[in-house]
Amino acid sequence: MVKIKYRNKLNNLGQKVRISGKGLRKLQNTEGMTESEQIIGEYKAYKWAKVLMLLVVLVLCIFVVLVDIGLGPYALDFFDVYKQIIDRFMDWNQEMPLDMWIVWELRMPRVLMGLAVGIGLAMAGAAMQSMMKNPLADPYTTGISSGAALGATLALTMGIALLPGSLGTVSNAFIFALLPAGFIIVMSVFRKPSPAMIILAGISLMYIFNAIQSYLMLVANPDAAADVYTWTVGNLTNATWDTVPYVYVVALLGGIILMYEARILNTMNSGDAYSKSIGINVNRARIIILVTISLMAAGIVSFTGIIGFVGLVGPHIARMFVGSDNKILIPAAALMGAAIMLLADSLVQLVNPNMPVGIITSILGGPIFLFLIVRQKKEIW
Amino acid sequence: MSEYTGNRVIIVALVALLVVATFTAYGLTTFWQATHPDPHQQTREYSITGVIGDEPCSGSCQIEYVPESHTVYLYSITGHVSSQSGKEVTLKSGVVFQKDDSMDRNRYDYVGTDVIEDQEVDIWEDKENSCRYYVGDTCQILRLEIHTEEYMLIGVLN
Repeated sequence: MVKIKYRNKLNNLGQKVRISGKGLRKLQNTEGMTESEQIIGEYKAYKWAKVLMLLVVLVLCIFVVLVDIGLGPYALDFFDVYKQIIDRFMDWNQEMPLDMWIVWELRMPRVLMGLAVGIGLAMAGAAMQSMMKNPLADPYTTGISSGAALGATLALTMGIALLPGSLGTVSNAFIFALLPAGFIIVMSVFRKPSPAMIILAGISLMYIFNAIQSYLMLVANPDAAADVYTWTVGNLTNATWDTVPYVYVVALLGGIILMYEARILNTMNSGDAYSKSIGINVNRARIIILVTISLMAAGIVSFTGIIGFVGLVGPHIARMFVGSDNKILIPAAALMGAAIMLLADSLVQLVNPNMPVGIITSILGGPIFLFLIVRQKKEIW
Repeated sequence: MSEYTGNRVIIVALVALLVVATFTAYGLTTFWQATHPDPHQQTREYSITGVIGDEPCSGSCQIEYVPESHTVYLYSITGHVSSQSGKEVTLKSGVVFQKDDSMDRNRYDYVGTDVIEDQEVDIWEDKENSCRYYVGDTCQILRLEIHTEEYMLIGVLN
């Protein structure tokens, strides 16, 4: 029975994974092996195939980073950019000429911020989709984006901020982003809601926050309203070496926690009843993962604004290649999200550097997501 | 219509709505910026006179805002100057202002003030290329002077 189960499972999976375990096993000599040994070998090869896909996505990500860093509106020779970076590392204490300063102080933070944002949002999106068992879930499902937008609107239109100066918008966005997520988490403690209820609560809070934000923008002066629109769409051009480390800390810490919870996420994919039957405290796990995702998304959104579709599409594309095992899916989604983010930024630099990157992620992400949904096979879930 | 097809229709509609909302926000912002241009982002033309070696020369240059980052105002300086004997100088450099319209003292030396066309200007000298900028409000460079061993040029805002 076990042999039949594995054979059927591998037959089904082999139809979906482009580099299948069967394909790899064909390269090996299976003469003299029993059928069970062959099946076990195919399964191991299937696991290695997923690792291979992960490496392919890593190479893609590195390639996009190298391309994006060479692009920008200031006229610099593409390969001269790399020379400037190498010269900078060769002599750290030198006075930077303007070209080197532009590459090091303006482009590098932008690209590194895009990398961190893509990694963080995609990992959070993958975890959210697994936890909610919903392909539409993304890091903003609990209303984080609307909370952050309200906080930024208060800072930009009315000058009401928790911290003075340039940190005002960032701090406001972070604190207000956590408000809807905090409400849902508290509700989870006392009411133990289902994933559907969490999503509906997030949508309700989103409407409330959007209504307050809309009123504030109606009464604000037009310059401030334009600033809010620019912030809402999301961009990477406010990145500096002072802000990039915070986003990396948020993304990487959150990623470590999500990887630690990956086994539980895999189990939650099978449903709450099954998870409880094998001793998993589903409500506690859901709260931990929700808090992690909320902090990741809030920490990222407060610095860059609302960059959409990366957390939604990145996990979907990664899932097509590596399957739904969160131990592989979460890192694959991270790399895919980073690649998508930097690809979008590269297009911005080529088409119109004045355009916020959130516009391009919508142009790219919307049709890609529609395509994925239209052709979606239920076996992926 | 099956439930699965119905769900897909809803998803498609929601995604389309999201994309439309994004474009609407961008369109409104672009419209606002077009009707209320930021004076920092204007491109300015300059007439240049001076000498290359011992020969008089003339030409033009342009200082254009470059949207490399929203944390600074970065401008590229491009121009061309030539003399009657065919000697030419191509100008290509840049200048950076902080967000508060001041200049970074690690990169530029503050020289003093002057008055140009009844406007008080600050004079800054670029440590890298010995170029002097006469800067008014909103990062407007009213005059620039470039001194090297080969040429001496003065640019005046048109």
